Amino acid sequence: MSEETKRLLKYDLLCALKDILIFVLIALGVQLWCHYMYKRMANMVFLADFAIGMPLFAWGGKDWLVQIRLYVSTGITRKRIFRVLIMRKLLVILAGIFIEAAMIFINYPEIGIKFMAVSGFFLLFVWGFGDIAGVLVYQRKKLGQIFLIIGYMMIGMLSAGSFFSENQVGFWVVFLAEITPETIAVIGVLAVAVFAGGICFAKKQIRNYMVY
Amino acid sequence: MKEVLNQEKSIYIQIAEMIENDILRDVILEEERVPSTNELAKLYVINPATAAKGINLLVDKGILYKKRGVGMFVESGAKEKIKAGRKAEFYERFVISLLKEAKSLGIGKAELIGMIEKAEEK
Amino acid sequence: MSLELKNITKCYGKKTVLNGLDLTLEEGKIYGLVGRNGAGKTTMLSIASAQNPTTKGEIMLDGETVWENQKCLNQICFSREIVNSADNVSSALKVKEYLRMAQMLFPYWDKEMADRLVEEFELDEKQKIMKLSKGMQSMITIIVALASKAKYTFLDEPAAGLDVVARENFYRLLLDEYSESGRTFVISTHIIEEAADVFEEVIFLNKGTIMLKENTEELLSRCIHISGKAEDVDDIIKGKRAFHQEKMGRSKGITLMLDGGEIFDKKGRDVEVSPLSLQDVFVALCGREEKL
Repeated sequence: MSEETKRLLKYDLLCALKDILIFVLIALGVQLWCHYMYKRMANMVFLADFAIGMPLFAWGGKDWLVQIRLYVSTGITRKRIFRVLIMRKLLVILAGIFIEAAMIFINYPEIGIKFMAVSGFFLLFVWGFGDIAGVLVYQRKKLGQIFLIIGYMMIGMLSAGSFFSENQVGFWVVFLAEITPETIAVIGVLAVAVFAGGICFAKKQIRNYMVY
Repeated sequence: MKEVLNQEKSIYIQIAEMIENDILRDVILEEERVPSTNELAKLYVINPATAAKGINLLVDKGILYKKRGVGMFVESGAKEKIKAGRKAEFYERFVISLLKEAKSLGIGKAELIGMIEKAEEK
Repeated sequence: MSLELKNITKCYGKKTVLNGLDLTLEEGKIYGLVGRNGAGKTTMLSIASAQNPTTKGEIMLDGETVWENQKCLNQICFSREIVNSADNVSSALKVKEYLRMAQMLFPYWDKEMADRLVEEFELDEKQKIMKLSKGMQSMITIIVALASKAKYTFLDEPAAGLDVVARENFYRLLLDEYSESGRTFVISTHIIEEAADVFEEVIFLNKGTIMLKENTEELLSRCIHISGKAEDVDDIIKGKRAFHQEKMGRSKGITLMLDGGEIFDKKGRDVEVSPLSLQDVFVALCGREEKL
């Protein structure tokens, strides 16, 4: 890795950790709330998805409005910026999945693989969708704002499921146990399509990125 | 050294004149170092290239000389040279234009000399 | 050693901001960039630093393309004017965070210098940038520009919002850094008069092209103002480049631009000849256009 990439990645990860920390704190707050109000824990795994998924989606907008602008104005090539953004998101997804894997295989080994697949596809989808929304917001298109709202609602709703799960084995676990491999495959194809579309769209747009 | 720069003349000429003035008034003595271009640039907030142009003007006139690695110094005899130069300039700038103006006002030579003598008495 | 802008055209939508602009910035000079509002100064600096793509044309640093070339980009720093707006990044950061970012991302960052300047400008590092006054925001862009140590450094309106003491202080700091390092600076400003002596060369940008790029002293030495009886003035300016005439009764005033090395000839006419300031020259050239 070149000196410049290292420097940029270091700064970028520092910013990213700050963002993740905010959502981890929110997730912990929700846990405390659940504990006091309902005398039980929210579903840890889904909260982990929330703590990773939310910043991952938020970065779509933040990268395009803030980080890329900052990096371009300090004289870093767009190619390098793009690469570093991908590295960061990849690292965060891998870290998230690793933590989830540890939790899921301890608690629900029977749905472990399915969960990993669905969760992985979910994060890829969030990444791609976030980038599309981010680019559109940067281009000051109305659609961007709409996409942002849809995105946050989707992640919020998925995470909300965990609050109403009985004793950690609630609706989601049942749902995952019932889901067929075919359905997962369909979800996967959809997620990968959105992800690939988002990446290609972002890569094309970053070449024309302008600091206003 | 500090005098204020104005817009009437080129900055580098003003810089050269200020150094000349300092030599005339013994603020800088012969064989003494004069401020460097960078010092002048910072003092007057001007581009060092302009300050250098002013210094070079004095080098060309034989008023300053360069000591390698040390800086610019005042030539011995510089003061006399400046005086001579200023005298020539005085003649051009004041005497000639004085006569011209006198002529256009119809002041004759005798009257003009009378005026000069009167002014001197005061 | 030079930074070249070759035949640069830049359009925002249907609007052409730069139109086939050519410019060569030589190493080791302080350039003043002057132009009216909307002349394209910021756009030109954005493009010269590859922060924005061109519509047409190319930027070359010592013969190498700058676009997407990290080696070249490391030599260039364009410290943008900070604008307070909702989608502006830098203004949401604290001074300290912003400078830490600069320290981590600029390859030749001089931390000691940045710290010294923060102290000298009496900036509160814990403040958010958007909460600072315009003048203090200018100070931050100045700190970033100077401490970046980039060989080619561009500053957009660094004097904006600074009081007169701070402005003089800035020009002194600039000259200090310049005489020590020999870096190239391009500084855009609307406050022409007090900066004129700092610029070795001035660049007049007008309607998206370079109208003039010349040594400041030389430009001033060949621009004069003539006034007198209209027919005397008309006779003198015959066949010369004259701008910006003003008429009052029988008298006429005009700005004359001599060719390099040309000695002004009054042709025996009784006219008043006076020197011009850089601001006068700029107004004459870029103000109302009345070429005769």
